[in-house]
Amino acid sequence: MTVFLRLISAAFYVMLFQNLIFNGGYGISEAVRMSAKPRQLVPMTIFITYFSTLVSVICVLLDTIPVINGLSEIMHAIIFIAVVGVLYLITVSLVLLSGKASPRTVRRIGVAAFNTLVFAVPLINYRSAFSVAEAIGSGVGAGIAFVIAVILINSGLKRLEMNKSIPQSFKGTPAMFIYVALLSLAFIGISGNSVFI
Amino acid sequence: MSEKNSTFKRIRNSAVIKNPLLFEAIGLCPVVAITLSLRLAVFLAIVTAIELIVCEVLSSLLLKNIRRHWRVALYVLFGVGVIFPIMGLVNRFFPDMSINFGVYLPLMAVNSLVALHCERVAVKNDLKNSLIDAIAASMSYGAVAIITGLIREFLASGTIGGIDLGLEVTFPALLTPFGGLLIIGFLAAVFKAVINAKYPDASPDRAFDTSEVTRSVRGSLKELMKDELDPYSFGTETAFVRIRKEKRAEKNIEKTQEVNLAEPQKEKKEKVKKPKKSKKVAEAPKRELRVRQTEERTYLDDFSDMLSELEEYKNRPEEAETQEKDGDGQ
Amino acid sequence: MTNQQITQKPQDFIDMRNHMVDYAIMFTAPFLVAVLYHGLRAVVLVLISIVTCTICRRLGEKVLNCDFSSRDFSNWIIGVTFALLLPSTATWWMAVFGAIFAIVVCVLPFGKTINSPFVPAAAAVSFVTLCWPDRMFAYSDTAGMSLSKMLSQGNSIGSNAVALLEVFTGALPSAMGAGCVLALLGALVFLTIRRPKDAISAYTFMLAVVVMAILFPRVSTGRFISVIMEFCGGEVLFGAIFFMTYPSVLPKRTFARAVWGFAGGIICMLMRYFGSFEEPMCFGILIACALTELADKIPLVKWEKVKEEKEEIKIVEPAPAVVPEEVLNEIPDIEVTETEEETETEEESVEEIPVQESESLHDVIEEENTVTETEAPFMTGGDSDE
Repeated sequence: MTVFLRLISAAFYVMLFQNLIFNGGYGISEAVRMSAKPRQLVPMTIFITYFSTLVSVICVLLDTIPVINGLSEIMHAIIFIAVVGVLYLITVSLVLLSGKASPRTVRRIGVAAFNTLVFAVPLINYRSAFSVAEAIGSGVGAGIAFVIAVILINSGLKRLEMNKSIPQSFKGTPAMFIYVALLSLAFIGISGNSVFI
Repeated sequence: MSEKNSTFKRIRNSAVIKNPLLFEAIGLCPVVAITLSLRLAVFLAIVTAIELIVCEVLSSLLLKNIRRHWRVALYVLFGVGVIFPIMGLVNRFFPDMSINFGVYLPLMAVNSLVALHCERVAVKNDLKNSLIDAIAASMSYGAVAIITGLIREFLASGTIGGIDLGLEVTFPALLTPFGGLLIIGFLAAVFKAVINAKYPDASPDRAFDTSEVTRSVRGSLKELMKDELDPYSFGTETAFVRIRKEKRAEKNIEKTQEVNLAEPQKEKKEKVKKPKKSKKVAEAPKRELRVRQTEERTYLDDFSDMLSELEEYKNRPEEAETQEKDGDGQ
Repeated sequence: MTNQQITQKPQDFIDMRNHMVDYAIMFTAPFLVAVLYHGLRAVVLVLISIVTCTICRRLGEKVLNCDFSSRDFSNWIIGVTFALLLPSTATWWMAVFGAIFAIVVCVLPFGKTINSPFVPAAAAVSFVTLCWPDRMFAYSDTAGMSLSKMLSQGNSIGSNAVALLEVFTGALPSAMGAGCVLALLGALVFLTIRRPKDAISAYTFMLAVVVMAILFPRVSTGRFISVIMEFCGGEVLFGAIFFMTYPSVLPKRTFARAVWGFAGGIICMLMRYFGSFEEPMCFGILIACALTELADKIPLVKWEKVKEEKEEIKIVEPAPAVVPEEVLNEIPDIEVTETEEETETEEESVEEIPVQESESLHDVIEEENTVTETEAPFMTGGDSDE
């Protein structure tokens, strides 16, 4: 039960209390660009959750090895990137061998694997000394945080699209950035000024 | 001169009109999170420039003939090769800066700016054009990052370059990602106003496609498989991609011809199967068509009914007049 | 501005103006109570806020070369709303910068006030809270602890009548306009009578606060005291009445408003429990504003479906009456003589194609298509009502 509670608390921490995207800025490019193409949200969320969870767990398990645990932070970061890369290569190989996935799906796997959100999760786990259960929770929470961010930004973009009175110089990305900034301000109310690094 | 003009236009397009940060929303994470001061912003600009130039040059030289899904991993490898030595130098010579950067410095190895520009430009162009694009994009990215850092440091800390200006009122809220996004939003508005005034034909709106925004979030995986757009909509095809597509089409035609000649029975079975699939696929659009038809019927059909009634009414008076005359006569 | 000129303005401008006038009436009691408790300080802060909002709006319109129909009193109301949520110890520059933020960040980039996706005053309060949290919660120079601080520390007011009276009359330290519960309840009554459909979101917001206070009390002196403290403390009541009914963020349908208000209440209470600020209500309001679009997607309830069908029948039943002039000119003038055989058919034909001046489907479609055209002549107004 405590394991489950830890998992849930880590997930909520990453999702709400220190939202990775709005409070940390991790993966905000991907969230903003995905919110403009919401129909791709479902597969992208699946892929991002898949990568963030697996990478998170594998990196935490690797960190239990004394040799790796004693390495510097730079070496840890290199190992984490290597884990992301290897996981991506394995996933793409399996998908290509299965023969059923379209090239677009393979492209999306690349986008989902190599982004700041997925890579930030193991780094944060390492700095916060998360256990395996918490690592799983943070990985899943990262995926859910991505969904929340995309849905909120997409609803704002829809509203901005329908708004005909936006001044010419604010149409498009300027108004969108200001909208996302105000969303970020809202989420800071939960976390306060502190942002986990 | 025409070459110079085209080079200038290319630089203008990639640096100003399609500014990666302001109009394409690429590479936001480091700028939003790290540019808390002018010093950090300058450092970020330098690191990004080095990473982008090295990655684009290497991609242009080495990765043209490699398949896309393997190329993506190699971009990250190049990024790691650039960023991690820099990290070592920063840890050694600027430890305070290393603390300020935190997690974000190693994250720059997976910067979407590098991956997109390598994929969009470097592997489809020669070395010279790739270098021009890398320099232009990194300069524009760096310029925005530096301006953002300057404004944030001035408003949030009351200093510029570490020099205290003695401001009574500061806005510490701008040190959060909210502040970074807000400043980038207003910078984008200012840039857009200048571009609209100076280059009215070039619209930065095209850099960020919002045509699909109003579509539903719920979309079946099957429909998405058939969707033509990819997340980053890379734009025009290169000759390499076109040739590959043509070859695939030829192979498909050959395969269908072979199947037609060799196995007619199996084709029948496939034909039997296909209508089932097409029915399922056709069901979705039919519902939409029905909705559209009912929507159109409300006023268009009413108007046509009204016109036909008017025509009848127009024709009726002759009959009515004759009937009336007959009636009066009686 | 004469009534005739007002009726010529676009409908959304008129609606916004009427809404702001109602808000101005609702603000009378809280403003008077604020002046009563805090004296000239309240008046000064409110005036500074209003003047800053107005100047920023006019300057912004000149810089952007647009006219956003800013003469709908929205600047005044944004200024008053923001200023009344400041503590009496707030400095003049807090009022100035908050007002600038409200207009420059929340209103001008989105055009008209009715199109602002967030409540400007709530965003301004959030910004000021994030910048200067110590100053925002330094409610008064006198001794005493605000209700929100007591709740965050788990202290209770007790159940004596004097304490409850202080709570209801605003004698405890609080934001200038958010302390006197009686004044705010009076504003709520006015809102309920004047705009019952808008008040639904306020009631469901308060219901959510009460439910959370009962289920998860932060004080140990009973659930009733928990409800009183959570309901009357901080800016909850103020936010429910003035932010959750703001016209630019309200969902379109009644049921959606009810659900949205309830969700907003839950979010604000969760922020109170887990947030890091003493009173994070405005941050919760911003998240609720972002959920408006999602609230509009809530499926129709049975009674809403019935109501929509009835409205469709009303629109479809009368035949489209507007006939193009070309067709009219082709039809010759016909003398209708009544006969026993033809009276019914003639009457029917006349009824089927009446030329009505009232709103028809064609007019509705024309209005939808030519909104921008009708707006243009009204944009260049030089009326100065303020």
